[in-house]
Amino acid sequence: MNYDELIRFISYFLDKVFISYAFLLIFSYTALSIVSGIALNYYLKKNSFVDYSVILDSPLAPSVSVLVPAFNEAKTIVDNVESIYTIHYNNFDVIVVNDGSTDTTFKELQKAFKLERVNFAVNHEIETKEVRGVYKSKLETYSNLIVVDKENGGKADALNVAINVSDKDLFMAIDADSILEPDAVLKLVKPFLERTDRRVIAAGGVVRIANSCVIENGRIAEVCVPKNLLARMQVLEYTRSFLMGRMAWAKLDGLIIISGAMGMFEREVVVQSGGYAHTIGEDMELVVRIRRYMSEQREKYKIEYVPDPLCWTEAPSDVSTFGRQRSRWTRGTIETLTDHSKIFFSPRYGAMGMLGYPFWFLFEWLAPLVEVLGIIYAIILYFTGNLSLNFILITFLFVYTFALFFTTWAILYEELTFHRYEKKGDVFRLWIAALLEPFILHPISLFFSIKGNIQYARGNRKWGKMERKGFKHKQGSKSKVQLLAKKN
Amino acid sequence: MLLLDQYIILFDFQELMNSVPDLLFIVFELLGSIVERIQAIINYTFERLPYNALNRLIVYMIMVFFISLMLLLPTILISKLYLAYQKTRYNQIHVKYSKAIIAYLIGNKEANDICDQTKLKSSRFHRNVMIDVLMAIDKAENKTVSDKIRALYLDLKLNQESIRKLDKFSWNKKIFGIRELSHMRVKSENQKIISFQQKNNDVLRIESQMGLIKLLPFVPFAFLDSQEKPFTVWEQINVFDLIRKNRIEIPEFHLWLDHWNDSVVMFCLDMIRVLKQKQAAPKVLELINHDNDFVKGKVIKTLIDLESYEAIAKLKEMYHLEESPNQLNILRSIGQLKMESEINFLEDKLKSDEFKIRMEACKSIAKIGETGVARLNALSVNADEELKGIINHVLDPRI
Repeated sequence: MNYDELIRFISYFLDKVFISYAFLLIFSYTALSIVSGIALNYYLKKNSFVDYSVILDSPLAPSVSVLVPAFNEAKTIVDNVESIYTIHYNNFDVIVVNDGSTDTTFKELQKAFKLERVNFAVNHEIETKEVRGVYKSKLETYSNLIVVDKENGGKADALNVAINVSDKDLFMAIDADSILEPDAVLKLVKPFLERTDRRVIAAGGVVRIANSCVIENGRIAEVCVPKNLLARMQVLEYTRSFLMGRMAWAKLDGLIIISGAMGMFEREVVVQSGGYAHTIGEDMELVVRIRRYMSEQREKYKIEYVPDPLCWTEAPSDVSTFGRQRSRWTRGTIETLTDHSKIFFSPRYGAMGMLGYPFWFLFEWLAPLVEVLGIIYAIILYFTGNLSLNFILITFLFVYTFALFFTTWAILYEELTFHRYEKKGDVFRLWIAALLEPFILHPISLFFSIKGNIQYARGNRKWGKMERKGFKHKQGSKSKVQLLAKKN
Repeated sequence: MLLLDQYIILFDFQELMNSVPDLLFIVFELLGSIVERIQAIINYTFERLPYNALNRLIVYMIMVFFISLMLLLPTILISKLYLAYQKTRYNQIHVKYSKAIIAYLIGNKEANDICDQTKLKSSRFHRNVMIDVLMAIDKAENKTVSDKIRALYLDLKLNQESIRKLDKFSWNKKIFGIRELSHMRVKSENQKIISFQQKNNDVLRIESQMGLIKLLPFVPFAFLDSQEKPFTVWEQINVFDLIRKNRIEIPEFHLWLDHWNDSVVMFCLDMIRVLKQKQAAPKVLELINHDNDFVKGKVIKTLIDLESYEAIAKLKEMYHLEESPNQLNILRSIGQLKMESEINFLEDKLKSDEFKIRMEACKSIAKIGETGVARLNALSVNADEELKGIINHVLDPRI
């Protein structure tokens, strides 16, 4: 084989690889969207008959701990803890863990909730960093609030401490900046109550972007499309991911991620499988590990997914914060996938091994790499005269129309299901963002995904700093804590 | 409002039908010109690209995506407008019918008047709104009003509409039928509703159970006899809620304690416990050696909630043979009964290696009262660090 033949062979091979990959990706996303549509339709029909209030005062309802890890959240922590108290549920407690913050997070909590140290004996079922003290509120309204002050050990460690402190059946892990819908716990608890022969070990819900939304007394008072273009494009990304992707994966029993911003788990299973691991993507890693644990124990189980918007979070609105987040997500994905490579195409792990894991490996980890290689390959072919500009343009148009079609499909799902963007022109604004997304968000995202891969290869396992701008609060709305403080 | 998506509005199509041929001609012409344009674009593209299967496929897929996109956009707009229109229309009719029914209830209108003045005969949508209104007003829990509403429902022949729903293919429509018939106490379709009990669709199954509880007031829990599918906690919560909110005759739940379906047994144990059916205690005690650990756990809780002191000896005897969750249940139970005589048994469990066992034993000792607290204080003097911590925890009134 001479040089020209070798080049021709490589070129032929690469052509086939890139084309097959692109078509497989389009086929997968289309199939997932169809499955998701079927699952959403069933859920909505089913949900229209559900009266969640029956859980509220039922003696048969399970107990729940809401776990809130906090690190340097001094500005927002009091508002955020207060927002948790807007949830509708009876049998619950709130465990806030101050993970060795270097700012005044703990002092703010202590002052606002009148905390006093108690003789709490912590059961160290999961190994963690040292606990400095456990505190409870003197205020009657917050009698079920437990605040743990501990040495800094990262988000996973803080969550593990909270799990050790909790004595409830289920726990819901949320981010300190998450704003919960009032019925979030009720809706997440329900799948656990529907257990038949398969044990429900976890349930996830939809996380939405709260940028530009109006917050009143810890609740979303007005849903708005973000004014910031980067955040608005992330609304589309979240809609696609949560409403189309995860819904379908739950239906196919291949869901391997529940957002760290909000997820509910059966405490016992998490403890038995060792708690949260000290990784960058601790949310995904935990889901994979508890699934592995259940499969290896040969226990029938399932992970449920609730498509209702249950939690609102702040999306990064500047490129550097967005970039740090995406690099971290990429590193987290790679770390989880490599740590659990054993399940790759292993029938022992059911749909997770045969579908979920391979999909994440091929289309979440490898997609940015394949895309960049494809672009480089196309440039080489163009400059060596082996590819016409027309073909490049037509390929770009192909990818662009698919992206636009897919996002529009997601907007349609949102409109037919929960239609939370009710203001005039909201849908139009979202669609305009969809037109621009492939030119703005996608290249940025791609760049930081590649950066994440490089960082991972260099051994970077840091979480990174996440700066928050804070939410837009309705003028004049006072928090319950403020009112109580005034009263006292 | 939840009913909205299931009904099709009946328009007056007469005028529209007359102009159909013209409209079709315009639509076909428009489609023809679009197809021509698309063909021209494809040809133009192929002229500039090498002719091969891949290029053709890519171009055709672009067309497919583009056309789908063009279809999706108006679909979004139409769905938005349609939902808003449906909402307004529903609300308007709802208000109108509410007024009519109130007039009927105070004697200003007869059923025939309502029938004549509304579109109930011609429009299914109107019939369904009327059923919604009747059910909403009937929630007032006044027997006279309830009887009058039921009479109106039957006079307007709305029961036929509800019965028709039971035969629909779609399970959610069947549920609407069950809800309406059970709410209006129409018993003629009971057999059909019973047949839904063994369906795989859990929502339909729950609704048929709930419907039967309302329709069979003297044997409301007969469905338990033939319960083959797992009786989920969600179903149990719904049934329990129905018992609490309605005047339903509560049976002796121990009658189902020998049921082959463990989930039914667990439900009955919960009901015996919550409803304090003390007479069931001997029957419950018979289940103490049940094969299923979950059932056994419920048996322990139930016995203690029924204050069955005679069960304590048996529970102590079986303690060492049990897994950790049931050991905890036993310790908790002894604490709940505040039996000073058991303090030594509990103290013995403080030697356990398991934190949870020690904690539960400590809690139970503390619950005994002054004697228990004094014993814990005495024990803490020579206790190891972990036990000291547990005792301090248990004795801290703020936790």
